[in-house]
Amino acid sequence: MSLHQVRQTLRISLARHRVSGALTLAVALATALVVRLALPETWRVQAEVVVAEPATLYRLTAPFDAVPRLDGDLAQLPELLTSKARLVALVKRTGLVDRWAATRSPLARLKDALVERVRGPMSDEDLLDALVAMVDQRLGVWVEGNKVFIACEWSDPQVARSMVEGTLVALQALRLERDVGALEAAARALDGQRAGVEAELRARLESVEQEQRAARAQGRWPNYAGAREQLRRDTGRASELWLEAANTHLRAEAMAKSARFRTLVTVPPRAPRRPEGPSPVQWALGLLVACLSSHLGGAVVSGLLGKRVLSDAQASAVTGVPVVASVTREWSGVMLPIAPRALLVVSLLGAASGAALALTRHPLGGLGPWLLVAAGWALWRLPLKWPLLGLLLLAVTVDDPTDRPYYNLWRSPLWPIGRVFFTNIAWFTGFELSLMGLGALTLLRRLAGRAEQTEAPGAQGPGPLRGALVLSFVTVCWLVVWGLARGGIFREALWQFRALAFLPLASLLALSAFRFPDDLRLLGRVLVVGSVVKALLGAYFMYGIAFPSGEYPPHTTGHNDTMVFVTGVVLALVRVWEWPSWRHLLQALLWLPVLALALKLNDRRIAYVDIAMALGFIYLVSPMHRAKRLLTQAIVAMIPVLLLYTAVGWNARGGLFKPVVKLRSIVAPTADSEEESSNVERDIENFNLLKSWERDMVFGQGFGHAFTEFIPSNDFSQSAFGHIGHNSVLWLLWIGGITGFFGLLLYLGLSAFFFARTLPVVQAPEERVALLVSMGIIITYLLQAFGDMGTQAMQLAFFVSIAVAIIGRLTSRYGRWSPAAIPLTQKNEPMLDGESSLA
Amino acid sequence: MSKLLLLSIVVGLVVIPIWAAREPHPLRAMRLALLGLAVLHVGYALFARFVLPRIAA
Repeated sequence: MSLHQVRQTLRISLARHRVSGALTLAVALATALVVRLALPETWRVQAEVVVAEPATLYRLTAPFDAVPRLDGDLAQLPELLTSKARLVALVKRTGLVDRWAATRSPLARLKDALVERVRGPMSDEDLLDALVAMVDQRLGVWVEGNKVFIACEWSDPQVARSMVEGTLVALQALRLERDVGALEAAARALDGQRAGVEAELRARLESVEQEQRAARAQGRWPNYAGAREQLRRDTGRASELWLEAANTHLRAEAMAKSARFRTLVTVPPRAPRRPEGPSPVQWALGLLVACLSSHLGGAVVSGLLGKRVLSDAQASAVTGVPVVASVTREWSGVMLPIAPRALLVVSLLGAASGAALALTRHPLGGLGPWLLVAAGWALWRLPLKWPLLGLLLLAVTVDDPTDRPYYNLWRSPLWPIGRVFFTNIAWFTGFELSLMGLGALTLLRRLAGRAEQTEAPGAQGPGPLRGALVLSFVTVCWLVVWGLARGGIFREALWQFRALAFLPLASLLALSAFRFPDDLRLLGRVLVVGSVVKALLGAYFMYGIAFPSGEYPPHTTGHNDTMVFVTGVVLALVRVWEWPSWRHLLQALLWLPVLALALKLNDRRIAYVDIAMALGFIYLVSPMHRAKRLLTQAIVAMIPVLLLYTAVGWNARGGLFKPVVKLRSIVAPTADSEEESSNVERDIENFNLLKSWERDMVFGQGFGHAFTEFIPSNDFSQSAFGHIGHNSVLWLLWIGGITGFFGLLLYLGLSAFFFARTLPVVQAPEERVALLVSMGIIITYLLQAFGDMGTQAMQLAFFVSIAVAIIGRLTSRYGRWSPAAIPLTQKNEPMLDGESSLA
Repeated sequence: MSKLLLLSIVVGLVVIPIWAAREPHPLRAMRLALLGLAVLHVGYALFARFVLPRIAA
């Protein structure tokens, strides 16, 4: 739609549907005012406390004891301060049960009265439970550095202040208990020990005196039997205990007296002057925005639903004659009668706009429903490839919070987007929900007959490949049912199967969305943007934030980013290999240093293995041409030099021999090194997986279970206590048996099959590059799966889905899945998409 | 050595279909690929059950 058409539609809609527009405006205004008046106000009170560790006191009073770490203790504070017992105490202390009814808004009282009529009056216990749950939601405690923040939002400012004050008192009591309680307990224990020793001392003295009296009466020498030595020892011990106890008492006293200096309230809880939300000016502005957007939106939606001519394009479509000129009416133009259906829709949207303004309390809140409608309409009309490309861009650029980006020391500007897309929203992540939404949208558009406009033309890959993708999804579903039937836990199963289940869906969507080679350039650009953004952010973090503050994190980017960088390196090199030109060489020389930096910051040994394997594979399947011949000759000539270099540098620590050190850390790590310990852990885990698999090698265990720890590992938590195996291949064999494994990954085998059938007949260099890089992605995925949980990352799954789509689409394009296919040795021109193929 | 043998299923998953794709007729090639993959899976299970423990020991 051009700008002219947009203007025309807006102008004519506003002219012809003024009544609808005005009505929508009125509904939005009325709803906003009613909701605003009906909703209770929210008052926010916040306090800030700086907590310091009594390190000096510790060092002065107990120089040989370790000073406790502040960050560990502080991290537990939010949980301690919002525990149920404390919240119950807080509700009782503030008298909330008695004050509750008086602080309710008229609407809330009406709701309470209705509920009471239906369910009967609420008991005090139920009311207490409800209030505790409410306080739990509205009281927030969080820690930033050595500061503790306490905030409460309530409909009554005094209650909010009481809540924060009560929590503050609890915080101070907790800190005092933590600093002083343990010392006092230790002092009391020492006192007890001393009292025991003194009692023994007295008893022994009495026995000595008795022996003296008895000896004197009998006229013999007294026999103390070592009692005097014991007396001497007990006297010394009692003195030591007294000294130690006195010292501990003094420490406790010093801690107690100095406690108020260590929990310094820098921002005390004060009753706020006005409730939360916009000021009167902002309210007026919000109402204006909501009213204007409702008027415009109401008119446009009425116009669109009325199916009357709004633009030249519509006129041309209806009459079949192009519009060559038009008469512009005045603003007062022809008004159209109001359609009841349109009126209902725009009234509802107007009400939603007003309610959104009142509920969000943001001046632009009223725009929300209209923007959602516009976005939904745009998504409905947009070709599928654009939202998929958007998701790919997100997958390769934003931080995945579950992957410890920047070693959890820094949050990049992309972190908030990553939190939405890669952490759970409702059982699934935003990324997974987006894919589900796109799947549903594609299905709906097919049912509505809009597939032609929104999906790429031509056959969407060979039938067997699509069948294998469906089989993979069905196998995941079967293994979930199978696992749960055998006592598995769904919550655990969800973590295990989600990436595996979404990969076939993403692949089928990509097969429908993209057309190759037209869309290859777009995909390449997304990859370049993603890798460069990650490398630059990583470098900024490392050299601008971590090093200056004395931190030396081993890596910046996460495990899932490895695929981005490996694919980038393979793409840059394969373009030069298959499509040699000065331009491609220059582009590779510009891109490769950035990727090398990214790989260094990623710091994963498996990345180098992936690159070597993918490039080795590409070398093997490439036909003999000049470059391959030259490379082969160079490799043969370099073998003695490389062997000598490796032998000399085998025991080196770095410098000139850094590549050899890296190679050795992969092949044969030195004893007691971190790599060796990691390898041993993985060997133990693999053994446990293989032994667990032996229980049912054909059908497997199903999802929702943990493998058995036959040999204990040092850190079982690394495998989520047996629920996730680092070696995804063995882990999947244990979960699915050979039948499940076959069903789950058959599409990868068939992708290799169609790759091998298609590559020999493809002449266009960009298509050859795309096929080779796609196979490189599949090899990388399999190696990551074998090496380090490759099947569990959604980002990796998305890359594989694009690779499968490229192979599938190009196979159909060249008619390589057809009984009439020309023998592989013969070079042929591409057929029309899908022509005479079985796809 | 045993680690390389463990990796054989990954190698087979890629190499067997590529080898089968050399057959000119597509349906025959597909049947060959599926059969090869099935044999690979069964063979791998037997290897993991009976051979690998002896090698590891």
